[in-house]
Amino acid sequence: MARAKILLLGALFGALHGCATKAPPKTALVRRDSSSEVSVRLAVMPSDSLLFADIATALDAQLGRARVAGARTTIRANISMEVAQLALECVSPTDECYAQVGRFLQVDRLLWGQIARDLSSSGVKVTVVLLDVARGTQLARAEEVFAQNDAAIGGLRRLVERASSPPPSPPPGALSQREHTR
Amino acid sequence: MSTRVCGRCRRPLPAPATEGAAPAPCPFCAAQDAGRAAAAPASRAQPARPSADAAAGKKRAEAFASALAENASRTTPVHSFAVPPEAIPVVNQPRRREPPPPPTPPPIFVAPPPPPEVEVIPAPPVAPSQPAPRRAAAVTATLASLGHVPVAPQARASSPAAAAAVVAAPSAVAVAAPPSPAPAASLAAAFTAAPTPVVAPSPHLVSVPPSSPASVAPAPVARAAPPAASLAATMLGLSPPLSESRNAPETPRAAASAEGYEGQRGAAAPAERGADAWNIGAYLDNAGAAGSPAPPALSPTFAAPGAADAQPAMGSEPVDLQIRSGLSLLLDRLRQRGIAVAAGAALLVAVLGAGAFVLLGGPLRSGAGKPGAATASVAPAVASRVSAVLATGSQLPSLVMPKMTEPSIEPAAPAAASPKIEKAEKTAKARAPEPEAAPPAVEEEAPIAAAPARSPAHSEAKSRSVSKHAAHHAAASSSSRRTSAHRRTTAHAGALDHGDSDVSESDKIARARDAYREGNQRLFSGDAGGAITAYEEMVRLNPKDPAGYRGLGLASAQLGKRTEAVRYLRSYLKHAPNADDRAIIIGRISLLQTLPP
Repeated sequence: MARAKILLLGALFGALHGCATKAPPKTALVRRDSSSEVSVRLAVMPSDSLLFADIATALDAQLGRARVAGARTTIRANISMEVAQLALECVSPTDECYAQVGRFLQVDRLLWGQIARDLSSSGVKVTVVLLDVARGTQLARAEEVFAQNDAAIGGLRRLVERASSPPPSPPPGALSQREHTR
Repeated sequence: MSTRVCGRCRRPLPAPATEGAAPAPCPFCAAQDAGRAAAAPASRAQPARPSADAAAGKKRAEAFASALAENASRTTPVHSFAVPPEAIPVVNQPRRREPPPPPTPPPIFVAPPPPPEVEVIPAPPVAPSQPAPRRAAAVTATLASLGHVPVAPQARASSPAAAAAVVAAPSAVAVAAPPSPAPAASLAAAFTAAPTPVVAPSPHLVSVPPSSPASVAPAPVARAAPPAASLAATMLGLSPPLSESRNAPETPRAAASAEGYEGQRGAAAPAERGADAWNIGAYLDNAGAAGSPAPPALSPTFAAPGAADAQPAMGSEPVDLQIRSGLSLLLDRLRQRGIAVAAGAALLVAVLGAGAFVLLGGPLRSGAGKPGAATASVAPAVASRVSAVLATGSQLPSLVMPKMTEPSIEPAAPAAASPKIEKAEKTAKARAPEPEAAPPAVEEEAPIAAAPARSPAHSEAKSRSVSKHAAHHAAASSSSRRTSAHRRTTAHAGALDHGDSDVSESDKIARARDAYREGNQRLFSGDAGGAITAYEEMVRLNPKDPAGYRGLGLASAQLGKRTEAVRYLRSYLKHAPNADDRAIIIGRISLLQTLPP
């Protein structure tokens, strides 16, 4: 008797529910474009040639041959990072200002090198940085101080390879991995 | 021949009249009991309950009445309410939990028989722990109160053992005598002269002292004393049932009003009314009677196997008084039959279905024909329908709701204007001349020039300024910023001339920033010459902004024009002595100066 009541109530509820509602419309699945990871725009910025012109020329050549993982499109900027920062009025050496330059260039990655004189050892300090513009973090950073210009020119390739082939991309929200070499 | 002795006085009993018959009772004890009964004071007939108990009874009755009055003021039906503990009489003491009292040698029954009535009851072999069998008291009370009035025969027949223990034994003899006190000796003689004395199974003879003469109805004198055995049998046969007298003590006064009391009790059986209610009702009925005796404790002897225990044993704990009304009885029956659950479930399903149909059925059906109907569009429709339903007061005459139409944006024209409004409009038109055309929008500049001017000189100057302004803005409407500036300037086209300087100043500043951005764009794209042009435009528009000089220096350095670069960079430092990038600019200046040409 109780089972019959339950069945009767179930049938009544089903009939009312079927009359009152319709099947929800089918919604198309939103698929995330996985190709966005592939089509990374990379901008390679030349180094400033005012101080160490020969090293700067060699560094620009190495940066032009760099292979960044995931970067399919590589463009070459016409001004150095320092000039770009001056033009954009964001001259602080921070990732935020670097990212601002990248956003102005409308790219996803920035690869540039800086040449400076090392005051402590009277050598040449070369720094190569790979920046993720969207996150505003440095994906890789290779820095080395060379005693002479020739040594610096010879070691530029290693520096650029270390900077352009970072470890697998960290998960979102993870801090950037910096690499300091001396 | 065996010599029998009295169990009370240990004297030899007289020999029975016939061989094999029961031995006659002890004449000595009978005479002694008769004399004691004659000398018994009237105070022995007083109720056993002291006066203190009567006061407590009154107190309990008042408490119960107050509880009833408090609950009577409620509007909702009360199915049960708590009765204060002081309002509950202790009618049933725990029966078998009490330790057995020490045995009293001669059990004396305090019963209200007529004064000369003597009951010779053979005592059981073992003296009962409880003082008085209630049924015996009730039988004697009934006999005393009813007299010769015939009563209904006893409906409930107790077990033979119980009957034998009370008065129904053939050996028990009750003699009804006139109310006038009779000599004990004559009574004893008459007793002994009985034709067929019955031998009691037990040699104990218990004398029952008479109760107060006032509470005993006079027994008929005219009737001759029947034989003792037949009289006892008649009494037992005609005694009323004692089923409900267990907890309601039958006092002589209560016995006199037993008829009305039985009528009240007959309205509802104790089991239906509730045991507590019955007890309290019985108590209230007897509460007014001062000096009502205490309810006799039940003796195990009277726990007849066939008699149902009508009331549970109650202590002094508070109990809920259950008063069932018609609704509660109906619900109880529904709950017992499982109909309530089914009805509730069906009602719930119906309500849910109706609500879902009303709220969801319409929008989904209306959007069913549209292939691209999405859930995002359904939610506002549902919300609007819900709000509409709530706004209309949830009037749902039927499950089929009419299709709701979207409210029109344009207000509907009134069907027919009132005659007063038409008359007022006609009067206003007749009085006022035809108004000029509405002033054109600010953005429309041509009608402004074509508008009729009141003063020729003023209009001529104004037309010149407007045309000049229009030409200026026509050239400066390339970028979005210029468009915004154009709007802002056009909005002030009719302003005075002194405002043009401010407007042009801010406009120049904005245009200078636009030029700087354009120079940056050209510099980043490698067009250093175009960047220099843009930066020069910026410096021309806003010479006070040092950014233009910096841009000129950077672009000149990109082109290899070191001298010009240094000159512009120094100009920058001159216009922005506290700039953040001063150190960098100084370093670049030094590098540009030190580099070989």
